[in-house]
Amino acid sequence: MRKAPALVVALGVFAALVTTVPIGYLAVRLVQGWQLALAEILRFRTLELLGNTGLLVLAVTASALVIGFSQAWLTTKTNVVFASGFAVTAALPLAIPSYVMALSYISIFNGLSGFFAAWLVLTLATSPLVFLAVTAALARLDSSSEEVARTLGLGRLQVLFKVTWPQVRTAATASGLLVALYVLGEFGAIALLRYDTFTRAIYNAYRGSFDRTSAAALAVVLLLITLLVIWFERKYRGGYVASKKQLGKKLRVELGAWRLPAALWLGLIAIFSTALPISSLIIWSIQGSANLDLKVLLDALWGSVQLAGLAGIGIGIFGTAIALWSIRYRSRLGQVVEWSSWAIHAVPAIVVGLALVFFGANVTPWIYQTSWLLLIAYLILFLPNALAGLATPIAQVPVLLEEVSQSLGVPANKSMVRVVLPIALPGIVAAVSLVGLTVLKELPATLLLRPSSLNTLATRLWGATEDLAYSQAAPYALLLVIIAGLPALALNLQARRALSEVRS
Amino acid sequence: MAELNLRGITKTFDGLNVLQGVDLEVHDRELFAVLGASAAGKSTLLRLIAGFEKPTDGTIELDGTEISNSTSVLVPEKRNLGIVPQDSALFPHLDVSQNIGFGLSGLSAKDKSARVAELLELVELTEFANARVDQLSGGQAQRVALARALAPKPALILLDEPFSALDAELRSRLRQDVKAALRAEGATAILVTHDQEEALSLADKVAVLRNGKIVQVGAPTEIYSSPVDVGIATFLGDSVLIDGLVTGGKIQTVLGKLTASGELVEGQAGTVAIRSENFYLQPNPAGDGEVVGRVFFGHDAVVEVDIRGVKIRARSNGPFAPEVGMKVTVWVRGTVNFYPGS
Repeated sequence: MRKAPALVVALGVFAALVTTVPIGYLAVRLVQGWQLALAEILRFRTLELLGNTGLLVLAVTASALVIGFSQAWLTTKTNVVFASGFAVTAALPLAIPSYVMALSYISIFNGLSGFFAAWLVLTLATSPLVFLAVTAALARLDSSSEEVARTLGLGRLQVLFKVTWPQVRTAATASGLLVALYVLGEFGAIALLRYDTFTRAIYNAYRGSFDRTSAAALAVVLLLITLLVIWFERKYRGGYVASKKQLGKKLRVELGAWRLPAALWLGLIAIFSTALPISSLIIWSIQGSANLDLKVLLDALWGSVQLAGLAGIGIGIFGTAIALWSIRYRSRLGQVVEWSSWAIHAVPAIVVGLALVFFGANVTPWIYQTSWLLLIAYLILFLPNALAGLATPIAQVPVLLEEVSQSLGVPANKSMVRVVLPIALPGIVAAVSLVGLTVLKELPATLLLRPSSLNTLATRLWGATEDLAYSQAAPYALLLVIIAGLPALALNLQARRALSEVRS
Repeated sequence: MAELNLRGITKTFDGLNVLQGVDLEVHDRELFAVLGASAAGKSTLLRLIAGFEKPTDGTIELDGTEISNSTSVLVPEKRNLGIVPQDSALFPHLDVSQNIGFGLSGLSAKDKSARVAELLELVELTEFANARVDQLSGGQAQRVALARALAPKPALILLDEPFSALDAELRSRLRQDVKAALRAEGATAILVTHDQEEALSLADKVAVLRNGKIVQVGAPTEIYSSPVDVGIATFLGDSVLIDGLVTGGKIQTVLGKLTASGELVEGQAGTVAIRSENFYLQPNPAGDGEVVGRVFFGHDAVVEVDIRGVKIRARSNGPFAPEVGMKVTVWVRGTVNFYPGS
């Protein structure tokens, strides 16, 4: 077997160490001080947090599934009016970071807080995840089985429940678990809406006292719950029903008298998930523009862009090295490295942030409270996103081209640079851009780790909301949606595919 | 000079012998074809020669230097050979000239562009010098792939079914173009193919590969006229098989006494292979053959004749082929091949 270049191996191993060591350190420290940690965990407060978090996760997952599935089914499978328009509005909330969504709701309904508020905002923010997954599954579905069922005497709704649903159930379940993970790790929206879950409690414990054991202990409990959910996800993900890409016309369900109510339902969701938040942000931005300090805004914008650019390039380099290593060289170690970065992909950002605070303060004080530690946090959080985006363009370059290049006298490593990377470049650029835009929106790790002199759009927004100055926060929120959310949505392959499938 | 020697090459994948003790000798400026059905081990053979696989056993020598054995394999880029793959595999991010010049290193920019121009002319694609590769037709792409492989003047060119993705007419024209280009460059080449017409019309020498073993090597005419066994006789062109018995130096069959090439042992039974073009059908109302089927191809026709319970297929001049229902006398022209024992 071919040997990977030393540079690729070095980058890969470094990234794997950087992504696993801080979390490991957190665990080791807690094991050492296990009595203290146990005392922290065995308080009534923990049980309360567990109840709150569990309730929110279950409620949001259930409602996001209902909303996302109904949007996907109505837009791809029925003759509902404005199907392609509603498909766009169904995906659009992905462009609005959940804490921005929360901010927009608080600024309309003053004093909105608690369980109901968190449930509403997170349901609206996460249902696009279900919508995209189910739309993709529905599009892959072979219509002929539905047609056969109709000829066998089943009604429209019977076909939906007996033929269509069983075939997309795995996709829907997987997306439901994705929603659950999202809610578990969510910090910004929950903190803004003042509902007590683990993430908010961890942040408050960290901010509120010099003794960080309590924060770390709670973080570990959250980590364990997350691992449990991931275990469920792996176990029930199953195989998708691998049916060939359907050809010919799709069977459209005639809604008849339900056509108008169905459109009203989709319209209502669109109003709550997109129209209301965006118009609220616009109105408050106009009001806030009078006393907006443009210099502060530009300074935050520059900070954001700098961080996102550096993180995107850095993650892109590490990600490309790991993707090349595991895909083109099929090395065992390369796959372990890839796996290690995947394994922590669902660790909540607040836990990653906290682990790095501990690690940075105790082991590497020379980078503590510098941008370096923050960039490492981004690497841990978003390397898996980069790998997902980088794998396809790199895997798609035929091995034969490399072989031809080698037979023409170009050594293996040079062939990688002269053939594989140039061909995969457009895909690599897209993946790296997407990562950069995701970094732009990141809040919890940025809050915990940023050097005090560094401000970003997200941290300025956060600071303004802590002072309840919504009109000051709104311009930052709107800017985030425009420069990060919308471009990210446009680059999102899954979303593009879903929209084209609804239109076809 | 280019001399390729394979000695006892064996390749095993997961306990399965893909190639078993293959010996080959390819001489300088020779156009050598390896002919085999799919899964005979052709591609594996090429990949071994190119250095992408390590032989389980045996050695490969190029110009007297050992380049592969079961313990070490010289890396592909140091072997000085060129590949023309089945689907051309042009680099999509480079234009036609850049593709052809890809393997040219250590040349001045002037020499490099001169060599590229020379090759563009050789494959008659000068006006496509700066074209993007996705604008080329299948045949043009294949010619660029050939030029790219020839550019560094390799000792050996490996052609992996280079015409199979093209349509029939283009294929036969391109074959002659490729042959001319290889000759003009004085190149030594190995072509692997499953198409017997391609192997016979293009190569100076043909090796027949079956189930991982070389079963016959020889000039095209030799391979075609004297296949070493019944299997090759039926694989190479249309052969009719009938039972025969050696009687008085001839072979007694339902079609009468036939003359066979090679040594014969009196009284031995076996199988006679007769090429369908060796039959001559003479219309004769008293003949004991009856035409039971006819497939018309234009320039010729294949006529199926039932003669004393044996069905034969004869190739006959298209417009003058006898029609279904006609009585004919069947003659066998020239010598036939006799395989004792089967």
